[in-house]
Amino acid sequence: MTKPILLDRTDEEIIRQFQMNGRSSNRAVGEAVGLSEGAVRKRLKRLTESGHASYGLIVDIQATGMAISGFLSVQVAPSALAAVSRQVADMETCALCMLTTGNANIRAYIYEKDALSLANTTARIAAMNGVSKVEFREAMYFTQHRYELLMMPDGYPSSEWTL
Amino acid sequence: MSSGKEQWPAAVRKRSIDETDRRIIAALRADPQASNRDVARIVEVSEMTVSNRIDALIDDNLIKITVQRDVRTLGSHCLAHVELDVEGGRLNEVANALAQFEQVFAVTIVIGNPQIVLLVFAKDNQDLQRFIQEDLGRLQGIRQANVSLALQTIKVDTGIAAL
Repeated sequence: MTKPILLDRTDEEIIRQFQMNGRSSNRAVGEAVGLSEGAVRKRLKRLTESGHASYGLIVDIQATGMAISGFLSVQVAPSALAAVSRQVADMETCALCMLTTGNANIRAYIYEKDALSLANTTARIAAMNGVSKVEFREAMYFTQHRYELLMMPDGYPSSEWTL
Repeated sequence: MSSGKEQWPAAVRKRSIDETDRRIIAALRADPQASNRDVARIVEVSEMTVSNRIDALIDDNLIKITVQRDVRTLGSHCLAHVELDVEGGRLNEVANALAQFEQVFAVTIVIGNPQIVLLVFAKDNQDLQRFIQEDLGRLQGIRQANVSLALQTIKVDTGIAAL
């Protein structure tokens, strides 16, 4: 759970420095913000331990070998919602899974190697108990993706959360 | 009435990666802060190779190592999935305008109608309604907006993006 702490301007600047170059040394960042290496290390520890920030590796889609990705929506009976959403979320190629209002009860973002793989995935989900509809909208262009922001899943114990 | 023809940004084809690159990426995924020495030991190549490969992967925009911030610490507790039906010929114009809003986490153009899918953060329902009515309301070309609230997020993996 994220512990609320107050961030000052220096904390924000430290985060900005590491966002520009995640492999920066604490010393280099210290020079940029006017702090000692130790002071940077200490602030960083406070920021990461309180859940405000964490180191992340972002991989370009083209380097993943996944030719297709897009939004999956599933219409499922309430009684089967927990089981089906769990199965969708457990897919290694599922990057986002949420329970939503509206026509679809589950909305997810998934990656697939190719069209055949995608067809198999959607067929498998459609065959699950309680599922009445599965739709996939293929992503064609990514105008914006603020990958420097993390949306922590609700009630998902952080030790279970896999990057 | 526009002709319906879009000007798509040129697609950048990135270089392919080999097995060594893949194993270095896997090591960094497990610990983005791992030193070159640690990665070299895991992947069983020289430290120099690791250093060169990581620099090349970053230079070629295949990976990015950064610090990610939890949006909840920034005050956002609401996540919405918004589908937008846009007038033909205005797609990129609308998508680019949407990308400027700080609370818009992702703008994805998908195949078919509605053509744009947004993932939007908000402080609360009121803030979300303000975004829909005022921010979206002011943009030209949006014919319809289907808003779906995330009642619960089950999985989030912001480790892949179009860099």
